[in-house]
Amino acid sequence: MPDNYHDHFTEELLEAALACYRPAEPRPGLEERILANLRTSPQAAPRLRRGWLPVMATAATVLIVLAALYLARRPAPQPTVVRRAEAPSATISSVPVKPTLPRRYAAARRPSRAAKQVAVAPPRQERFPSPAPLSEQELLLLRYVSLAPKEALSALQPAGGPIEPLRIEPRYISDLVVSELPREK
Amino acid sequence: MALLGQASLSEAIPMADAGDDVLEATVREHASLVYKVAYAVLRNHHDAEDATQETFIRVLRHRKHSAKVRQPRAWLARIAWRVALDRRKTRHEISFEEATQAVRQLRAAGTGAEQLAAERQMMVLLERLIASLPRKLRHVLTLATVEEMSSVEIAEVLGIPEASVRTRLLRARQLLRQKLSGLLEGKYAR
Repeated sequence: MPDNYHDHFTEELLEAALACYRPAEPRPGLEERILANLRTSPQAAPRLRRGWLPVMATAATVLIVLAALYLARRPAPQPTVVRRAEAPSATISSVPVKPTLPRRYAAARRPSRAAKQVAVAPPRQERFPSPAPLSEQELLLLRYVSLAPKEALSALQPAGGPIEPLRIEPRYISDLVVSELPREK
Repeated sequence: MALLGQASLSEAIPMADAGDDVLEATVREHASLVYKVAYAVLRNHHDAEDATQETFIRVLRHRKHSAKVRQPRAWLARIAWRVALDRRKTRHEISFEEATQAVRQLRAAGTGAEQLAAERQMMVLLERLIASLPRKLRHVLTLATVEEMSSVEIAEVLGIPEASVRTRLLRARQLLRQKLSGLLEGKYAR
């Protein structure tokens, strides 16, 4: 009997508790609050967005076309040939000096392998070092020598007269003589 | 609230094309159900209202996919269910032991079942007992507390057969009864 009473009470309590557990009714004005929030949310303005969409698309297209035209008219950088003074036989087509960039940007701007191979191999010369064209200073000096009188040329010489070649006299070293050491007693 | 049955969502929620009037009608028709589904999970007015708001924002955001929906009520309830599950936080103002002790004292004092069920401690105790159920049973029981939802709609929300809904609901009640009985007798420990 007590068990039946207990089970009955438990059943009754559970049913009543589950009935009370049901979700409460929303507070008055829920729909109005939702609608007000929806009207102010960005997702609730499809008409406005639809109106701006063609304008934005047109502007983006114009920008892309202008950028393409600008890039098409811009002359492509030509590889320049630089002759190095210390190595006249080597002709190197220099790559334009790159600014120091972070690695991710530098990787993006790294020239391709084909671009690097633009370097022109110079023809092999018979003489080494290969004769190089005179510089501007050398040309001016030659012109002065050809035009200047002898007096002017003598002024260039040192005051003590012409420098004679250095003569080195031969030196003779006598043979080494070794005497016997005294024997120990 | 009238059931929309098998009407397509494009008839029920064609917000993308018909404008604000249809949107307003949709909110007015389904806001209460969405709120109650959210409340069943969150057990809090403020959180349930926030979840209701987020549910309708998601509906607007995904309105392009609404043409495939056949049961708009269940579709909305499912969104509200997921939103509420995402927002659920475990907040326990009263501990399980305190609630158990209070219910036992009320029971010993001869408090009737109806009166005891209305006590706040009993609600906390029931909430904890439901939370201790296996997940499949807990979800069915939670949605079943929403009066407006039929077993068909619960099955639609959870993506299970309707027969499974009924079986699980029966099993959940049996388990709850056993746990509650054990608690009242002092045999059950969480």
